[in-house]
Amino acid sequence: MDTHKNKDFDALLRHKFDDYEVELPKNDWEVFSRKLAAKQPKRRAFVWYYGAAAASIIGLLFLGISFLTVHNNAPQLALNSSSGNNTNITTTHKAPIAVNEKDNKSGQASKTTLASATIVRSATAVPTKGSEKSHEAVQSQTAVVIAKTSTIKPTDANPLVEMSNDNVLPLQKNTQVIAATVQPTADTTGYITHPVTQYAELPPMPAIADEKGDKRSKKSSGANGVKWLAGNFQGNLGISSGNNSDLASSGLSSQLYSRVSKAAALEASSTPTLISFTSNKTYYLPLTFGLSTGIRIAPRWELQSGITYTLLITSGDVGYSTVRSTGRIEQHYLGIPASLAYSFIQKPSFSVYVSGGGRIEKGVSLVEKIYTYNSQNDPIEQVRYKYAINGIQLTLDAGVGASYRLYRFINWYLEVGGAWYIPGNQPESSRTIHPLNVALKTGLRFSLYK
Amino acid sequence: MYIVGDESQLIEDCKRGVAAAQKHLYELYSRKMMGVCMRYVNNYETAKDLMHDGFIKIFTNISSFSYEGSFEGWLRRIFVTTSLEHLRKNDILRESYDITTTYDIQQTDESVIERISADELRDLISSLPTGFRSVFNLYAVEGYSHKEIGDMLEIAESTSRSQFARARAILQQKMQELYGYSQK
Repeated sequence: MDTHKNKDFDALLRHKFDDYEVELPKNDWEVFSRKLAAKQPKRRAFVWYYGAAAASIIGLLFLGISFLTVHNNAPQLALNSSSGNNTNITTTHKAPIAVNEKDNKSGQASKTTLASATIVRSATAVPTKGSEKSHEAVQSQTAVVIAKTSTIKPTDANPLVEMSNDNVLPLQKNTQVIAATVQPTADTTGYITHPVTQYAELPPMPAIADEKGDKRSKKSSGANGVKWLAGNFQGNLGISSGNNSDLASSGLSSQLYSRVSKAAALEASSTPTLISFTSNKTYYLPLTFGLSTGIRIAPRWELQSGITYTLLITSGDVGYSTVRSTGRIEQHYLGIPASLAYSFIQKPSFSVYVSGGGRIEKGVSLVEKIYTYNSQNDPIEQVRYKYAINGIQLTLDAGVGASYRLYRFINWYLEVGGAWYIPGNQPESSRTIHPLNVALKTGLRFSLYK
Repeated sequence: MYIVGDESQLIEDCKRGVAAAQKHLYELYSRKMMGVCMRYVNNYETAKDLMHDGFIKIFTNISSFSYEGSFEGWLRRIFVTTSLEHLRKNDILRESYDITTTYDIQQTDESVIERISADELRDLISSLPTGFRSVFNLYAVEGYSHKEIGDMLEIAESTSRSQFARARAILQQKMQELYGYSQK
């Protein structure tokens, strides 16, 4: 037989089966999927195993940041605790610092004597190793702080604070403070401070307190690298960090996770009046954590959404009389982002995309904290106010990012872009000061295609 | 509803275990792969079971697909292997046949092959002894070499050649008888 003819025969025959198909029953997929499910019990267990492992890692990361911040703040709170002769109060992070929660709504109505009585109770709750004399000093100094804060009208932007307390130290009696504005200056740590409302006619801080305060500030900034690193590791779950040049990362307070009595934490009916910082006002690097998911809606198009938690921190000095005080405002937001992403490079395990969208956030809590220091710069008291945050924060953002598939439906992503926080009625924060900023995001994104 | 992207996206989704993607892939290739199985086993239900087994292998091992060669070629190899495993397991490949009949086909008639349907051609192939049919399918339809076929069926390369030549001759003879395969 002719070999050439045979080859033609073979080629024709092969071509005949190029698109050859055999019809199947209509319920064939259902039959097959049952077989498939029966054959793959281990795979399901495998997925849950990895899910549990991922959750454990996330939990450990959160514990990690808590651990790091507590340890980074330990020197800040315990500084000079051993040098105090008269006020020998233990102030390590393990010791419970007395928290006095007050009703901001009542404002001026609170009487000084009542406040003082409250402070005595708070002060006696602080573990002390000193003598009776030092104990009295603690009571007196804490009374000063509460007396002042209790006479501030919460709805008054520039309150006139009157001092009237029989228990205060002689230097603090009859002190009046008047609101004044100071120009922005650069502080010793390199941060740019902002115009703040300052209370005039304050007696100068004791030199030793200022000096040690600077040391404390430097120590705080010196730990930034560690905390920034911690933040980035935390960000593996979905961190978004504002990149303002004048935003300073610093340590979270060891009291960040202190228990707050809900019964005592009262909520304001409007945007709260915030602490007026006298100096060293610093907006911390915003930290955003969250879970992100991606749902493909068309070839190369993906709808990304999830849930985010954002912590905004502002801190600074609150110069009430001779007692060194620092304030801290923590704002907690929960948000839902939504963005549309288009992959212009799409490989099996890697994609590069542009995205644009927005985020709606609701402030769930605003907490003001005041720390006071005696002449030896020992923190001796903390006052805490808790408010509700009215309104919502809307944000528009866009960026370019890359996504790498780590395992099946788990992707690691890195995005850089810009965000515009639409001005609204939200309390002052880094966002209201700088509505437009650059954001770097990284984290894990879970693909939901089922 | 599964959003259909390109083939690589479908593969990646199947690697992730996305059920909708698996269903889409199944619906895309199941009838074609059923055709492959039907050429090796001459029984609809058996072929369907083999097709199901093949897809289970695919969804279990799709992560090993590394984009070397076409995806359909990779799928087809799995179904061919699955079918051959079935034949080997049931010792069908080793059955002996009376192949003493001689076939003397002078020339091929291309128009006959063009005239008959794929189903008719498949029926003709199915009528071949299992060993011949396997060799014929592997060589003429799948495009494997005789050496590869020898390795797959655990037979000598020369045996594969001879079996294929005989199988082709049988087919041509039957075409002549059934569909007017004529000598020109």
